[in-house]
Amino acid sequence: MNRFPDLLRYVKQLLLNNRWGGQTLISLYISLISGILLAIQYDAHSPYYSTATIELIAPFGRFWRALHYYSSQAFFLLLLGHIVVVLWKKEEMLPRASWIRLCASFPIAVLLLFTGYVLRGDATGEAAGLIAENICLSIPVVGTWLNDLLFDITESGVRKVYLHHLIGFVALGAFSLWPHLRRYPAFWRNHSVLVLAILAISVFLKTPMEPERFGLLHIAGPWFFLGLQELLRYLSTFVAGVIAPCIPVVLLFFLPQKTEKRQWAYIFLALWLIAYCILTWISYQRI
Amino acid sequence: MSGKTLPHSSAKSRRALLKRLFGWSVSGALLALLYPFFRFTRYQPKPKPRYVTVPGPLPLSGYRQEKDFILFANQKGTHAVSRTCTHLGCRVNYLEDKEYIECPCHQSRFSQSGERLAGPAERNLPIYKVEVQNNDNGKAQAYVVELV
Repeated sequence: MNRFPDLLRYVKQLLLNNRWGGQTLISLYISLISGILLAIQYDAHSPYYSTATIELIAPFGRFWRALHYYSSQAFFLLLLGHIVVVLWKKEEMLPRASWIRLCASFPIAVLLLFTGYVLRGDATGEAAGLIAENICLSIPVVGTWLNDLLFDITESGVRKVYLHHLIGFVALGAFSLWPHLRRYPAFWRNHSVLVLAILAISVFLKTPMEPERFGLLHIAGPWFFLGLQELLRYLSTFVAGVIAPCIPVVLLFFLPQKTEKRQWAYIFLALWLIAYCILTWISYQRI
Repeated sequence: MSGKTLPHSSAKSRRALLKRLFGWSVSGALLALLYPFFRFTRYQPKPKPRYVTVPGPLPLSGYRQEKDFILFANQKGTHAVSRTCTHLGCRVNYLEDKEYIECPCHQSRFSQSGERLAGPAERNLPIYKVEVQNNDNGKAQAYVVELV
């Protein structure tokens, strides 16, 4: 009779006790190592050509590319899990400045993942990059400057995007995470199953890549970008591309200390997430 | 007490003043660095003028899709339309059967002459100048598109 609630309780305990943080970090380490290896072959002058070369011609290129792709995906998903569980457990909050510094790693992680898609240089990556450039340009006053600094794809190709994927965002992320990593180190020996799983996935699964071709009537962005892509149909670029994605980040940065107020922030975060999932689903239907 | 040594509080306030002055000058120097920072990062070298030659004559369909533009050459005339969508910059395609141009990202539509027909884009597609080079028989041998 009581099996189902027991099972639920068991799953909840399993989720709460999982070492999300450590797993996130180990996936990030694998992503960094495989990323450095890929950079040896990658050429930002001809992004699509060099991605195709890595995928099709370079010995073991397909494996290293898959390892970089799947470890990065694992990193992002585990990071989401880590954040949710930390909020769920209502662990003691850091002082505001330290909290913001730590939480800044989340938008940086999104940017790292996103620039990775752009660097593929295929139809999806190219469109994603151009959309990001136009979203940046829609920001009043500082938009042009921000675009010159971060994307500038129309003028510079993927040169600047590559620079930030390789150094800029990595350095910012390291800065934001440094105090956290010193406090909670992760050990490889505790995560051998995860490492083996990522290795196995990289051997057996194909990494997505889409060539430009005639009859390409619909381009779907990266999976985490689909909701935004849908929203950009209805609202102005600035509202859909900047304000909407900034809402959860700002909520996270300024999460109230008091439990009662914090509940409201959680409700808003959950509502935002549900809305984003619905938009993603609508966008997915168009594929 | 010797006359040369300063009273304790006076030395303290002088140190505080020096510290504050130092702090202000560091902030000033950082602010001054912002100017060369912005000037450097915002500098854009002028792009080289680009001329793309498309060999003629065009197929019977009367159009040819290149990386940056779609070239139309028919009885009405010759013109090239940019492939950069005016909504968010994705690369648009010409749909021959439907006779309009469509963006794969958000499905904005444009006519052959680049006029906006539907979708979230608000502006028309830019048009590029085309120079037609004819052979001795008066047939188009090449089209030179000027990308600006």
